[in-house]
Amino acid sequence: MRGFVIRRILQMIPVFLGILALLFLLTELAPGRPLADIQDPRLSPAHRERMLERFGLDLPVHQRFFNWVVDAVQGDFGESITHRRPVSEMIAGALPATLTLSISSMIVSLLLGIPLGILSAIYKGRLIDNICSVIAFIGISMPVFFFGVLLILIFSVGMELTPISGFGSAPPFGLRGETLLEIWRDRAWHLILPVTALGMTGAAGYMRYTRSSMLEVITSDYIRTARAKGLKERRIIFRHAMRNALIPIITLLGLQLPALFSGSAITEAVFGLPGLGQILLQSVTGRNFPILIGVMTMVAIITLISALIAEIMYAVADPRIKYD
Amino acid sequence: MSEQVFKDNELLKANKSESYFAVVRRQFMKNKLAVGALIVLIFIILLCIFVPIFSPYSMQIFFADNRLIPPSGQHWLGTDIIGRDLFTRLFVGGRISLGIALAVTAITTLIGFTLGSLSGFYGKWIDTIIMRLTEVILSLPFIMIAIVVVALFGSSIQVLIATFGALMWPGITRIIRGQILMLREAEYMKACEALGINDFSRITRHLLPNLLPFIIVYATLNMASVILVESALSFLGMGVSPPTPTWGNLLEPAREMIHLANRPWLFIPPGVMIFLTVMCFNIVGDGLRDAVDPKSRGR
Repeated sequence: MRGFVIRRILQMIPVFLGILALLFLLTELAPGRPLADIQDPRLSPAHRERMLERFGLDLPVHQRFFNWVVDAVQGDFGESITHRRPVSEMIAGALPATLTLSISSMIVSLLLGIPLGILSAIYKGRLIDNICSVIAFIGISMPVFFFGVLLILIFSVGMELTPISGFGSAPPFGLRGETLLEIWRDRAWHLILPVTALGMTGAAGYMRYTRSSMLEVITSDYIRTARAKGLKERRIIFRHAMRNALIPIITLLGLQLPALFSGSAITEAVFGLPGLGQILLQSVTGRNFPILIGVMTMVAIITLISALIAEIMYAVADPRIKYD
Repeated sequence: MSEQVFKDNELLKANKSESYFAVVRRQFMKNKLAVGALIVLIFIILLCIFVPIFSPYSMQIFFADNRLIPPSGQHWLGTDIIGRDLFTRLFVGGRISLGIALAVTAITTLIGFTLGSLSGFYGKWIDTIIMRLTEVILSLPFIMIAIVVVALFGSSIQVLIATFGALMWPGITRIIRGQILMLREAEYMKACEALGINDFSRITRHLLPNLLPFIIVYATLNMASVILVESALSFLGMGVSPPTPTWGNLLEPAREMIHLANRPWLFIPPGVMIFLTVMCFNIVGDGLRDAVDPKSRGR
C-alpha cells in the first residue's frame, strides 16, 4: 500500500512539472509585456529597469522558470503587479468562496445524482427511467450561467426570497453577526442559489454514471445468485448491488474536479462571489501574469492531490484492486 | 465456385444487402427522441443560415430611437441597448457559435485521431508521452485555462478556435487510443501485418473505417461541449467580443442588474437557443452511440 502511494506521487511529478511548464510557456509566448499598462511618461528607463528587476523579469527565460518553480513549490507565487500584495495571500483570500461553493455543489450533485441513477437503473425502460433520462439530458445541456440567471430572476428578483449576489451581507445591512455561526448562516443564505445552479447541472453526470454502473452490476452472476437465494429485492439492491456499483464513482469524483472548478468560476461571475474565478477575470485586464499563473498552479495542485486521494480511496474501497 | 454458392443463397443475399451504415440508420430511426432532436437541430441550423439573409434589418445598422424595444410585430425579439434587431442578431450569433463549434470539432477530431492512433498503434514511449500530455491538460480546469489563454493572446475568433482545439483533444484521443488497442489484436490487422502492408495504410485504410462510427459519435457530442464552453467564455466577456454576436455574448446583458430585472427579452432567447442546441446535439450523439455500439444500448 505504501509503495503504491509513493509510486503514484512519483508519477504525479512529471504531470505537475508539465503543467508548470505549460503555464510558464503560455505567459512567455503571449504578446505584450507585464508593466505595459503602466505608461506613466514620467517613468524613466532606469526606473522601469528597476521595476523589472524588482519582479525578477530581467533574467533569461530558463532562469526565471527555475526560480519560479522553486518559489511556487514553496507556496510563493510572487507579487501581484497591480496590487503589490503577495499572490499567495490573494489566492488564500479567494479560496474559501471557491472551495465552499465547489464542495457544497459536489455534495448536492451526489445527493441528487446517485439516488436518481439507482432509481433509473432499477426501473430501467419504465416511466421513472425515462423521466430521469430527460432530466439528465437537461442537466448536461443547461449552461450553468443561464440556469443561474434564471434562478436569480425567479427567486431573487421575482420572489425576493434570496440575496442576488455576494458571499455574505455587508456589515451595516445584513445579518452578518459577530459569531462564526452567524457569519456562516448568512453565507449559506447567499450560497443557496449558486450551489443549486452548480449542483443541479453537475448531478446529471453522476446520475448517468450511477445508472450504467448499476445496470452492469444488476445483470451480474452474484446478483442472480442473491435473487435465487430468495433475498428481498431491497436487500439485494442496497446491500449487494449498490456497494459494488458505487465504488467507481470515487474515481469519477477525482476526474470531475477540474470541471467543477470551471463551473465554479462561471458561477462566481454570475453571483458575484469573491473566488478564484473572479480574481482570474480581474487580473486579465492588467496582464497580471503572476496572478494568472499563480491561480492556475494552485488549482492544478488541488486537482492533482484530489485525484491522488480519490485513487487511494478507490484502492482502499475495492479490495480487488492490486497495489502493484 | 464458392462464389456461385453464395450468390444463390437467398438468406445470405438478404443479409448482405443491408450495409453497416444501413443498420446504424435503422437503429437510429427507432429512437424517436433522437430523430426528434435531429429535426429540431436541422431546423435551428436552417434558421441560422436563412434568417440573416432574409432579415430586413442589418446587424450593423442601429437606430438610437429604437433602443430597448420589447418584442413586437416589427421586432420579433425586441431590440438591444443600441437599437439593433435581436431576432436577426440571434441567428447571426448562431452562425458564429455553430461555426466555431464545427471548426473546433474538426481540429480536435483530427488531432485526436492522429495522436490517438499513434499512441494506440505504437505504444511504448510514444504512448507514455501522449498520455501524460492528456493528463496535464485534463487536470486543468477548462474555463480557467481558457480565460488565461484568451487574456494573454486576445479574444478573436481565431484565438478562440485555436485555444479550444488545443485544449479539447484529450477526450477523443483517449477514446480512439482505446479503440485501436482493441482493434489491433483483431484478425484482419494480423492479416495486414502478414501481408506486409505499411503502417500508414494499416491505420488510414484499415483502422479508420472501423473507427469512423465512434469518431462521428464523439464529434457530435463534442459539438455540444464546444457550444457550452464558447458561450460560457463569451458570457464572461472573454470570448468573441462585440459587435460580433454569439449566443454567449448576447447573454451578457444578464450580468447587469437593470437588464436582468426588467428586460428579459435581451437574454432569454439566446439562453434558450444554447440550451436547445446543446441538448439536441447531446441527444443525437447519444442516439448515434446506441445505434453504432450495440453494447451501449439502453445504458
